[in-house]
Amino acid sequence: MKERRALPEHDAAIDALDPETRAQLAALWRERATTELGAGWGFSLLVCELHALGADRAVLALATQGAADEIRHADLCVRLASRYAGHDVEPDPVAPVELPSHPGTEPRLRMQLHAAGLAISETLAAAFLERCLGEAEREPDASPTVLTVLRDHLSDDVSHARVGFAHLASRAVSDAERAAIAALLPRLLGANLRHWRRRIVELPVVPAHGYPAHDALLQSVEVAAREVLVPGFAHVGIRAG
Amino acid sequence: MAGTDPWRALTHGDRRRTTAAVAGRQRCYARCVMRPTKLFHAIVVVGASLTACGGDDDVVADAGTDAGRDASAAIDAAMSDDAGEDDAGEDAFVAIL
Repeated sequence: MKERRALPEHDAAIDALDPETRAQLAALWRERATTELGAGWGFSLLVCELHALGADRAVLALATQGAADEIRHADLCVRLASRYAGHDVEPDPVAPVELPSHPGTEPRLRMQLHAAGLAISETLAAAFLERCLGEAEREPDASPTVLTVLRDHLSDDVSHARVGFAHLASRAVSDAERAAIAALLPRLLGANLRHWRRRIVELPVVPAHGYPAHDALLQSVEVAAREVLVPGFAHVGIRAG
Repeated sequence: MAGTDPWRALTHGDRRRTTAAVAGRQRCYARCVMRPTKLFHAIVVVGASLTACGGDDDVVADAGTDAGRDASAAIDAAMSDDAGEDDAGEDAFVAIL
């Protein structure tokens, strides 16, 4: 288990915010805590599936760590939300999590698609966080607490995305399964990108607090899809049509 | 581990070491970090090497340079201003992790 990340004791950037923005950011980070808890649940389900697939030990170790990371992320989100709120907050309970059903697929292929989905989801998340962090770093009044949280999450999401590609590159995925994943890759990419697009356009724009302009975020996830995911899948033998 | 994994250095505080060679450190840092090639290496190359290098090398093909037509079209459609509100049954294909 990784150590609990220390947050700065004081944050003048948060203190200087108007009450309305503080409340908005408190609510957002509280929601993100619930999302992270749901991600931990989903990651745990995926870990079980990776065992069932006969995944490489390196993959199993990283994935198991990933499930724990998401809980730590939730804890950081709660602490940040509490800073914005000015009092302790607790996240909403998580609705039961199920991995995508991928209708019409056999159970083993469905589990392989979940690993592919992990690679997609975490890569897009890393691109999103990278942009949030990069834009915040350029702001003279950036919140040090937000920078700490973003660095922590970004570092882990890169590691989580590796889980997907490490597995897809391994002997636990057959050539036939790679071909089947390739056939479904356009739909997987499209569905994930639409989801990210819908989330991004609802966000506030507060660059110093980790929420840059929507255009920048949309560009980052699109570029990640074109220049990381599509060639990345090809790198592990999964070439979309 | 910064010597073997530059990503760790970028996200664990020792940014000066990784950006010392460029002028205008902060701006260059942001630009440098955002290069998709860096993400590609950090995620795909390092990830694939965990299971494929030293083993069954032919499992991992050369990095593709051409985006597949269907994948590219799917990305275009998803990111266009008139992207559909909801692809039927989309939740069946998306896991937020």
